[in-house]
Amino acid sequence: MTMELDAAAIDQWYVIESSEDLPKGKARRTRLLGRSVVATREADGTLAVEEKSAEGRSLRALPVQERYGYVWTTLGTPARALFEMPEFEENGRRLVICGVVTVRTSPARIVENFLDLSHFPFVHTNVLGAEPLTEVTPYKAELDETSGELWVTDCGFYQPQAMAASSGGAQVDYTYRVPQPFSSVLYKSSPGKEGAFDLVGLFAQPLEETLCDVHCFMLVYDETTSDEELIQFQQGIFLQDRIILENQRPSRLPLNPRAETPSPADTSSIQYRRWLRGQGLRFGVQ
Amino acid sequence: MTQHKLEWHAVSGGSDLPAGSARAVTLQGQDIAIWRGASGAVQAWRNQCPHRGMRLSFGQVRGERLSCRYHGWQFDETGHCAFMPAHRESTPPASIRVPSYGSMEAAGLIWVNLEGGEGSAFESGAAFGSHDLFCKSIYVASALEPLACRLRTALPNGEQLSHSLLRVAASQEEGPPDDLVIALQDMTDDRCGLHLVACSSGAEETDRQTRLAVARWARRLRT
Repeated sequence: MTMELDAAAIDQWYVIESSEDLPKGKARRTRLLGRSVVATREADGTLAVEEKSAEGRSLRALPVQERYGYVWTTLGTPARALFEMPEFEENGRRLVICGVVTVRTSPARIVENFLDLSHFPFVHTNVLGAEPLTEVTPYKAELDETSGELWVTDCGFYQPQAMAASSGGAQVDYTYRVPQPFSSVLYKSSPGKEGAFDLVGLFAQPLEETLCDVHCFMLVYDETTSDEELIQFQQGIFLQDRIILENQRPSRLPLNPRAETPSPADTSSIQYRRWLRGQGLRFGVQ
Repeated sequence: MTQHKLEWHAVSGGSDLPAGSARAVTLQGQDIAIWRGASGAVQAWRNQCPHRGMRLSFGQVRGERLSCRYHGWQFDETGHCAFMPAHRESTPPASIRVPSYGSMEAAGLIWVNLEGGEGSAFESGAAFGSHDLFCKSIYVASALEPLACRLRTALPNGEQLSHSLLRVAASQEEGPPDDLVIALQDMTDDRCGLHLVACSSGAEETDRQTRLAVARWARRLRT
């Protein structure tokens, strides 16, 4: 039986594969929002995505586009075009696709954790934070009325090793952009270029309500660190998060403000939940 | 037949929860964090941080407080939040509290009372008598009633003391090497724990031998 999907979840673009993992002549069968989908790249390079029935019958062709190193599709009719990331047009940064981590929780828990500052010293100990430097200074989380996106700004945190290329501890500035419910991009002080930002992106592909493939990329000013080292750094951090994410109860993100108890350091989480509530999202929340 | 339902339930051997550690146990479908402070006191809490839902059994025991693995919120032995690392100078509101269950340690085991258990008597005390040497916990795929029934039949010297307690006399045949009390833990509809308790001899080496012999004998209970 196919579950009824709400517009807020269905009318979104989702990553289902990285471009590099779908070479010519290959197909990838996966799940999206509890449905079966197959992405195929023909020998001539043509890309197609189909929704399949449980028995493997073709149901319909789905929209497809390839951007930012990923294959995107949708099961609905998104009101907006896929969000723009102008940084991909700028010179000097390097794109590294950091692989997929499967996480047994809802996509909203994953994005909320990505926006969380105060867990750094406890989950990413001696990498993204360290006791006793645990204070979270006030920052802003606001809805951008024009774009409809959530932005978290003015974040600062002391990090022992902010990025793979970091040579030591540093006070790091963070800005988070949440262009759509299950995608987020982090702009973070670059150790490779004074005054510039590196990007770390996270695209959650909900396979089911509480099971996701998380796709992650880096777009960095870094000529020295190898791809393997960057991937290892990013995956190492994400595996630490996974232990948390798979042990939060309930797995679906509670949107009722009284369900859990936030502190002022959780401004990003509070606003993220409010933003999701405002969109009428029901998939993977409660 | 209606049997008197015990309020206190065995959930772990006492020595399986060393000072300064935390672990998860399941009792009647409830996910429970048990932890032991540096002083030796045992607590049993709902296994969910009130902040962002992280299971507290992953937490770190710091003195007489349990610190959540996710954001380091510290809860004192009454379950009240005592420290939020993101706000080092501020006092957490008194309303932030982890729901707790009754907990106690007796007869070598840790016991939990889901109703709170303040001031309620430990009904099983008499059944244990001088049994206080925890030997081994084993876990089987079965509901509680059929398991108790099966054990009663399978163990010739078995005597059911209550719906979740059995006494088994030592014997040369199928019985255990020592007189045992077995406390059953109703975890879920298809899973139970068995906590095996013998009598302590008072001598460390003899007790060690008893534990080993009981553990070896207990393998048969799994099937």
